[in-house]
Amino acid sequence: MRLFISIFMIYLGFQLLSANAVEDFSVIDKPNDNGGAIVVSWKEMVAETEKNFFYQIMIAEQEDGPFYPLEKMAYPLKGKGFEVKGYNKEGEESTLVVPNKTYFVKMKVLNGDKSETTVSESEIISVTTKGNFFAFNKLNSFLILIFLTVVIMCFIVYAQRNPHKLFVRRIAGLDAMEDALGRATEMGRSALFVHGLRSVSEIPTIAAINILGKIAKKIAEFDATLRVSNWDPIVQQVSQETVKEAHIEAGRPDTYKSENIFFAAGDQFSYAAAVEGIMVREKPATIFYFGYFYAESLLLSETGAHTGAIQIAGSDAFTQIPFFITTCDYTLIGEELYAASAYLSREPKLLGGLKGQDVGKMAIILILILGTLFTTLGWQGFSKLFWPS
Amino acid sequence: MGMQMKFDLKKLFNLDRRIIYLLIFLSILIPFLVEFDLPIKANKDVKNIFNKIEDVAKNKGHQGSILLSFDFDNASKAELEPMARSLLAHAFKNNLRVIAMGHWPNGVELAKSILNDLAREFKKEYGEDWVYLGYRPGVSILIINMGKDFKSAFQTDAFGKNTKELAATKNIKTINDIDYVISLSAGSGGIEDWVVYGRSKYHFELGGACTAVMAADFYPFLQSGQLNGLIGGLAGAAQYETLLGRPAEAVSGMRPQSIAHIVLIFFILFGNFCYLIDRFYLSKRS
Amino acid sequence: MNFLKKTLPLILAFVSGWLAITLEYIPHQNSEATMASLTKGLIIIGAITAFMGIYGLFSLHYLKIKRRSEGWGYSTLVIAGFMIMTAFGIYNNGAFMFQPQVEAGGISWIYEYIFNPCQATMFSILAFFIASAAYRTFRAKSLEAGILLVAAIIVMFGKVPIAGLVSEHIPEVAQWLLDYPNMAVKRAIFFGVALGGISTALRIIFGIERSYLGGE
Repeated sequence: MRLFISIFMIYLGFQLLSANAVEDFSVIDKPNDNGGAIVVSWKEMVAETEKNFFYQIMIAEQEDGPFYPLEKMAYPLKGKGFEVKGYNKEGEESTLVVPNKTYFVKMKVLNGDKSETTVSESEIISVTTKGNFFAFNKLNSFLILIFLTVVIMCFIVYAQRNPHKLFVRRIAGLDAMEDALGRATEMGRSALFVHGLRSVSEIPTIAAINILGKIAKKIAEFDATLRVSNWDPIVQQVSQETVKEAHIEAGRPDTYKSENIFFAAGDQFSYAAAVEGIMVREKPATIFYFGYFYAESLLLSETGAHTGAIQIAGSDAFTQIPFFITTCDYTLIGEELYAASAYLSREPKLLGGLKGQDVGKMAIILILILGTLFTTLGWQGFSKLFWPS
Repeated sequence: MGMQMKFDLKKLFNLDRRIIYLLIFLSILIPFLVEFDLPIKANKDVKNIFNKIEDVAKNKGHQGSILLSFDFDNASKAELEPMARSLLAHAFKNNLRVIAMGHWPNGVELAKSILNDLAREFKKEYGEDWVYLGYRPGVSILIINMGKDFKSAFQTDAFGKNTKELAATKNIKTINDIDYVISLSAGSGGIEDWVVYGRSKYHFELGGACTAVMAADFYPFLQSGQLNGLIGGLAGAAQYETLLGRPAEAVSGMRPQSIAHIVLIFFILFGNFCYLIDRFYLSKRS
Repeated sequence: MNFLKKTLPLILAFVSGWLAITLEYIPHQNSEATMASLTKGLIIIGAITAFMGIYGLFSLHYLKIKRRSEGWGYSTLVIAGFMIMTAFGIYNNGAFMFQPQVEAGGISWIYEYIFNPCQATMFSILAFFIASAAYRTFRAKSLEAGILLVAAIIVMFGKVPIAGLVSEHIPEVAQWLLDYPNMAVKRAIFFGVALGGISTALRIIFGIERSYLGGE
């Protein structure tokens, strides 16, 4: 009887062990990365009994160890694609996985009770990390970038060759710009250009500087005064240079005054307070807001509205656009801000860029319609082509 | 008679803005002084953040850590401080480790005072239970660095202590070793940067807390799953306080906010009423 | 001179523009290191230009005081504020400038009792401005404006708990408006902005857009 029980127990042990063996264990260098991670996968265990087990990945720098344990993972757990970026050596600080190094990895299944004895252990797999030269997981975005670049460049070239075939819809805010500047000149008051709150490396700021160049040229021609408030010293420097060049181009270098392009404050609400102060004291006839704005948008434009100035705003800040619409005479919404420079200069190659943009937009609309259609019909494959991975 | 009425309506139509300011002021002040209860029901986005912290606590216990990024300053303190307090209280109550930092240099003092208050209340030890890393410049590059090598991004904490020696940060190799990241954001250098440079590159769990005016900006991130939850404005903060069973500033702030919204709605309706009457008389005359 | 002012910036824009795009698709550690150096370079340039900003600020206010222009008194406040803050920063509550900033003394006091209330005041003014702007401009002048008006009222009412006292469906409708119609508009604007951004970036990289250099 005792023998029978012993055999049964051994059989049960085997059963338990084989049920908890680590199957399909694989270790690979993480693809499309800088060589700083390893990906560990194993077959997900689903047996009811395994609720009482832990899984633990062990990593070593030499094949014969020592193996350093990673955090214990409780059941149920996804067995695919566990990323190892570092480990803790005993008594030492944490260590990162580095490129061009060989690591040895195994996996243990531990008993869930207090004893934490090893139930089973996988084979040891070695892996050498390396950095990759192309992120294939970003292939879709790369191809879209190439497509849009080619389309936009083609239209720029086309526009240069056929300058009269371009139609650009009216943008009321930009048409009103000249009148607004003329008004400032007639009233003998200044115009104020308020920059948004982003740095010079951001596209809305660059677009604002482009518009500033056009406004400054008109101002120089009209012999009026333009004041430009800045939140960022680099934007201030670039704006000074832009306005100076515009004055030179208009043949009025003598009327350029560097102190008119000033740094108001480096803090959001200090900036708002400084600019509002200027509005109230100097009562500019025309105020322009171009760039990316935050909560200060309404503070500025409402104060400007009270002073009776003509206000033209342009921003791609989604949450601030309603505030500009309610308080300004004209508002350029989103991409109109980027189109303004091309629209004002009427230069064919700049307008060609706008046309290219429209074709890009058509392509996006088409993809959206097809994606919605296919997904509704139960096939996600098309949508997945455009998913980030 | 008609002309007289029209004249009066014109006057009403061009209501002096100081009257509007006064009524808004009173609609905020009086509900602060008079107490009454309002039903506060948490929405799914707030619940998601609450549940995530509960999950981390359940699965990891004291080994679980959350990172709070104080990306705001005093200007938006009224909305974001109650959120920060509730999140900290939730984490401390569940014995989670808290790592705090911030992308806004002007928010450092504020963050320190909030952290100190809550740590004192829950009797938490600095270094063991919580760490404040302070401000580092760079926003995007800082987040990328945290994803690559946490210790090189923050060699020391805000008080000059080595992060390799503090129990709460000792074992953090990259940001992926932190169980949950929440950005309390009031503008540039906040949730959007965490999504673009952090979540998209390193795939950690990210939650957001922001001012009410910004909340609409982040809904696409919620739908795409790049943010697992969002606490928006004082209303969101009040919902979190209610879930936590710790009603404080935000819950009491719901009274003035509710009344101010109603006053605002009244003004808009009244303005439209005047406008329609005006148009009616105009069309009648012509 | 023309080379330094026109040609060189255009070459720099072309090279650094393409470099940044290319590095985005190369995950290799060397590419990451290059990207990190470029970004650090930007931070360093930013730090240097902070001095230029301070210089600009000072010269503007100095000129105002010198010419006794309107509101010159405010300019003295700007300069005095800057000087006082710098002096307390250097003094550092007795520990002086080569020690980390201590958490007491003049800077902390000014920060807590002057800067904080000023900032909070500016933000609070928004509540009043929103009310006055909404009253003046939110009119149902057309069918579209009428629909917007109704939606705005539902969202404004539905987002505060008092709506729950009237009907529990109002917050749900408000959330639906935010989740669907609002999101659709946001995405539409976002697509346009993204494409406009790409187009502007390409125009700058290829030197087609030169307004930022002052010329056509």
